[in-house]
Amino acid sequence: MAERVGAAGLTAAVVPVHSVSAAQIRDVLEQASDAPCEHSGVTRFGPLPVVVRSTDAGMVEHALRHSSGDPASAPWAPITVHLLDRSTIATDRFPAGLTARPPNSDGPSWVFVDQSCVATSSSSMLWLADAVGRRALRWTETPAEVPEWEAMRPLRFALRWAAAQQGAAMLHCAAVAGPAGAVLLVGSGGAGKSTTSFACVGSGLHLLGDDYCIVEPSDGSATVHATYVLGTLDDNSLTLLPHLRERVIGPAPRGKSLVTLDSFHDHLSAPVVAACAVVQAPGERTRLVPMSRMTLLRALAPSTLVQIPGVSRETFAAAAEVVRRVDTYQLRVGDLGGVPRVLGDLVGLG
Amino acid sequence: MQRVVSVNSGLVVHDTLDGEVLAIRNDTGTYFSMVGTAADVWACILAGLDVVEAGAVLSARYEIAAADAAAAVDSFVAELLEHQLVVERAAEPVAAAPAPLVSRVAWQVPVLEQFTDMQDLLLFDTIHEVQPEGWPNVSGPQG
Repeated sequence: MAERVGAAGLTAAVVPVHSVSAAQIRDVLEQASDAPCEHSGVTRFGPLPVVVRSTDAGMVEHALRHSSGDPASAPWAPITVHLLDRSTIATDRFPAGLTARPPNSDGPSWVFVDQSCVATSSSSMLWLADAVGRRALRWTETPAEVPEWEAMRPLRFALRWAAAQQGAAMLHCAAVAGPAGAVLLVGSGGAGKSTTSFACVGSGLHLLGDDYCIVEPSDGSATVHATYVLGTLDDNSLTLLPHLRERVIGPAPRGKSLVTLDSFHDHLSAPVVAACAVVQAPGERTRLVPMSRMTLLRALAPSTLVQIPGVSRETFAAAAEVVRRVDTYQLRVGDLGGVPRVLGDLVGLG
Repeated sequence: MQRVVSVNSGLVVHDTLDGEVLAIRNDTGTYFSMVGTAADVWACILAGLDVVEAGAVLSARYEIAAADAAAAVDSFVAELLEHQLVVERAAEPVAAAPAPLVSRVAWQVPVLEQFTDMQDLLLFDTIHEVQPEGWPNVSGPQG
């Protein structure tokens, strides 16, 4: 038995067992494709059309609830995502060693990567994806074992993987847009991205995303795509922004509320003009402070990479390309009411 | 034979912006910043220089004693190895000219700045990446 020091000094036991190959991953995906799924739907996450299939109606409905837009007009080629459990593919149909981590386990997650296939075990889920067939599988023992963070942002592993195939990235950022383009708001969980971005609702700015957005560098610029139709806010944020209570459509995990965004009518994407690292600055007037590109990248890349396993290299490269092409600032948020004014100036709403 | 290292590409993603290097370990989320002479050493590693060659480049550039530069580079490379940002590899002749150094400031001993604030997230969902030859077999650091 080998041992390796894992995150935060945890020692993760590494037991050499059977190898997994890309061919075996494709075989499992073939089984998923052949599985009889009476429930399916076609939707769009940003530029990506997604066909969702499952034996569980709730899983399909949940994925469709978080997405919007006309799949036929989406610019990227579609992917198919199978949302299955052991009632469709029994555990013994997987290659040895390819197992989901038990719920609430402290053990490590694993990622297998080769040129076209990715597999990861993370928080009671298995995710498999194959770029050649443009298909992915999310597998759990039962539908009830889909973890909370996946329920809050469904399919995000598949979206990040698909974005990487396009030279784009699903970044851990919020985005608001105006006539001249969009601003990315970055920062680790708890930095205030959601609250800051939702503070722009009703100001004439459009909220493209509060937590995760697909961003695509191209031709010396970058484009951000509204990806999820729903955001989340906690009670404290709703107290600060009471007019958003009318947008609450239900509860979200961890005591939060699901809140509708306003981007899915005619503002699906926008050119990125700036990126801001959000910093809470109580007592100050909300303002922008110039920030180096590297400092901004440090605020963006690590949290993006660690929260979604797989395709790290491609995602990091795309994140760095985006940062190279935009102005970078620290957004010091003192009063939420000042946020639309400051960001509006950046995106031509002044 | 002089020590030669290369970026541990199986475990590390990195980029250089405005003279600063950011290197992130995929498995822990720990990230590292290198500026000034540290960024210079990183550039020499990317260019394929061995430790002695890198020391010579820095000695000439900063006009310091060769022995001092070599010792500083050797110590810094040892730190990079300790954090698995680089791995040792067999020496190969360097055909290309050394990479342009990214810094031109006063000499200072190279410093590797480490940030561990992502580890709280990883306690929630630990991530490791392994190579195509096996999963969940963890291969050694990749060259």
